[in-house]
Amino acid sequence: MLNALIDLNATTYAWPGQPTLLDIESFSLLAGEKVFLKGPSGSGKTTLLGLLGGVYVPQSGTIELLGQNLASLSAVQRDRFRADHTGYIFQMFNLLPYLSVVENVTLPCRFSTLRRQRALERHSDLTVAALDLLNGLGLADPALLARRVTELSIGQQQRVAAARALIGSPELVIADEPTSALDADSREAFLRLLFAECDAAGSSLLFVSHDSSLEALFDRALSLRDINRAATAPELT
Amino acid sequence: MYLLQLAFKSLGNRRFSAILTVLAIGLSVTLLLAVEKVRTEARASFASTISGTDLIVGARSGSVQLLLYSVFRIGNATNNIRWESFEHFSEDRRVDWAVPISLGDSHRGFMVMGTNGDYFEHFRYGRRQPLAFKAGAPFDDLYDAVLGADVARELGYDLDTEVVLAHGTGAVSFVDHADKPFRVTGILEKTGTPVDRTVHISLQGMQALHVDWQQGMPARGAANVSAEAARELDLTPKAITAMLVGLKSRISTFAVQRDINQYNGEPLLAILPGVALQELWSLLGVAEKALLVVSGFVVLTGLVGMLTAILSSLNERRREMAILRSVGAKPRHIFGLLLLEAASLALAGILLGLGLMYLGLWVSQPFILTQYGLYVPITPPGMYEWGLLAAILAASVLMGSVPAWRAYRQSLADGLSIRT
Ligand SMILES: Nc1ncnc2c1ncn2[C@@H]1O[C@H](COP(=O)(O)OP(=O)(O)OP(=O)(O)O)[C@@H](O)[C@H]1O
Ligand SMILES: [Mg+2]
Repeated sequence: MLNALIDLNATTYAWPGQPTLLDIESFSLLAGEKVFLKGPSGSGKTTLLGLLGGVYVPQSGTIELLGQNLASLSAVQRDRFRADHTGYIFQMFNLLPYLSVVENVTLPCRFSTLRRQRALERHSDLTVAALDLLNGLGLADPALLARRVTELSIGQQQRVAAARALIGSPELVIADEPTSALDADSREAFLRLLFAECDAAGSSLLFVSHDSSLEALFDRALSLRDINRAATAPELT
Repeated sequence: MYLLQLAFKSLGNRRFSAILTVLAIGLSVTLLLAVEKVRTEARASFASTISGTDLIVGARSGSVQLLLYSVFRIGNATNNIRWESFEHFSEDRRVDWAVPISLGDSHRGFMVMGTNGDYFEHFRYGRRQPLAFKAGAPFDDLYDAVLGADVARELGYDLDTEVVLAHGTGAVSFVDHADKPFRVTGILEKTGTPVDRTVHISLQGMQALHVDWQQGMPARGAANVSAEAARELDLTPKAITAMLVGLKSRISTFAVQRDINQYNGEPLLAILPGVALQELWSLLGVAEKALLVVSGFVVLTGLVGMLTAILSSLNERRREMAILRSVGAKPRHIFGLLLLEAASLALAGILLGLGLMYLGLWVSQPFILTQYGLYVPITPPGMYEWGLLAAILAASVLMGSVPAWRAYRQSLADGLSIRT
């Protein structure tokens, strides 16, 4: 496949002592694509993202990121690879409470030289790079940026987290239900800002959620149940 | 480097518990250093109480007991030695000098010691330092007294002050020698030894005090001998408490010691001050070591407090670890972060402890000097202290590796999923 950013091939994963959770025949994500992956709670979405991040290794099959088979890397190399090429946004509480807004955004550049270099290619220093991203995500007010991150609203925190995921233009941004704590209007506004910045940074976006109301905004939407052969009936909750 | 910054900021976020932890470690380190300081200074000052004396001779008893009453003025002699015995050995050809000592009276809690002028010439302390006069001169007249530095300072006495001595050695005495007051003719320089707390008079003066006593009570009425009348009497003492002996050659020390111990005239005991001091210190050494062990445990308690604080913070910080992992921190970064935290807490505690110790020393130095006669100099920590501090730091890093390991395991298990 051409330009495949992510390529899963007959990938299976089971937590120790649990039945197989994921068994994915094939899944790929193209460079620049924005994909919505839907699945009910407990279906293994977060686990899949962990596999893509190289935190866990599949029991069989392969996961290729940028043509690199993650299983062939050592744990340390995988950590490095993740830091270099992937930005994460979690459901909530994404930020380190003891760092300032800007420090939170520049955090990946402290652990990845590649992302640091990329950020500095376009900006004079990391703070400028962070401020530029925050500005693009609608966080320009200096008074706001001077606040403790715990004093920001959830929506503002998520935008800071998005800026952090995007700094240094990683090839892939992985978002694990980042909008579930937001109201419907903010969700869409957040997504539009995120899309614009992903385009600006040239990053692909893999967005997982159990809330299918947003899927129309994406290039492509698919359900984990459809690609996961180990999927069971959805939980009745 | 960035990890250290993160560790500091993370600690700053938990300021309150961090400060308490540092305080606990700091106080325990202060205690340990102070105990260590006092211990070494006490040992040094103890060992320098007497020097240049080859033998101390007293009535036969224990060597520690003899040392205690003759040098430290603690306790009483069970028996005296006869004046003839003193004369016998002071004339021995191997003996360079011999100084008699007579104890038993006191003045407002300070010991009174009868001796002769040779004492000021031959007595040595510390590194063979002789006694020096701050004011006045050795006693000359029968009723002259020379005061130790502390006696003069604490009682506010000066030259020519009249001093009434009391019979017995209690701080409060019911029988005094009011009829025969003494006059201060000399005040000694501070020595940091029991000499500072001693009133020195001549043996004859001491004899004069008791010349008319019968059965331990002053004579009444006609039997009373006035101060002036006593001058006419033969005041050669019948007995003394102990004698200090200096030999011409130290080679003869053991021979003279044996001769004294086997003396036919009366049962005597001769001791080598250095050996007896060692023996006494080894008795005190138990208490001294116990003190050190206790303060060691206090430091350990401080470190366990730190361990508890870090461990209990780990659960609420799983999120922090997951975020760090997601931005590319490796598990060893998590390990390092926690270790740095423990090390910085301990280091801050150690620095605080050092600061508090020197502050405390600076504040209490005059007090310790006046109260205990112990001059504790303010000197930078020696090799031993640095070693202790390094050991504390090492112990804290070792203990810090427990939460670090847990966080490391946890961050491996949690991966990027955020749990609370
Ligand atoms: N660290 C772990 N150790 C063991 N089992 C786990 C672990 N993480 C997840 N699981 C199990 O894997 C299954 C899928 O969990 P996962 O978190 O991937 O679901 P999810 O689709 O992200 O759900 P949600 O929408 O609620 O976030 C669950 O049954 C869970 O118990
Ligand atoms: Mg999940």
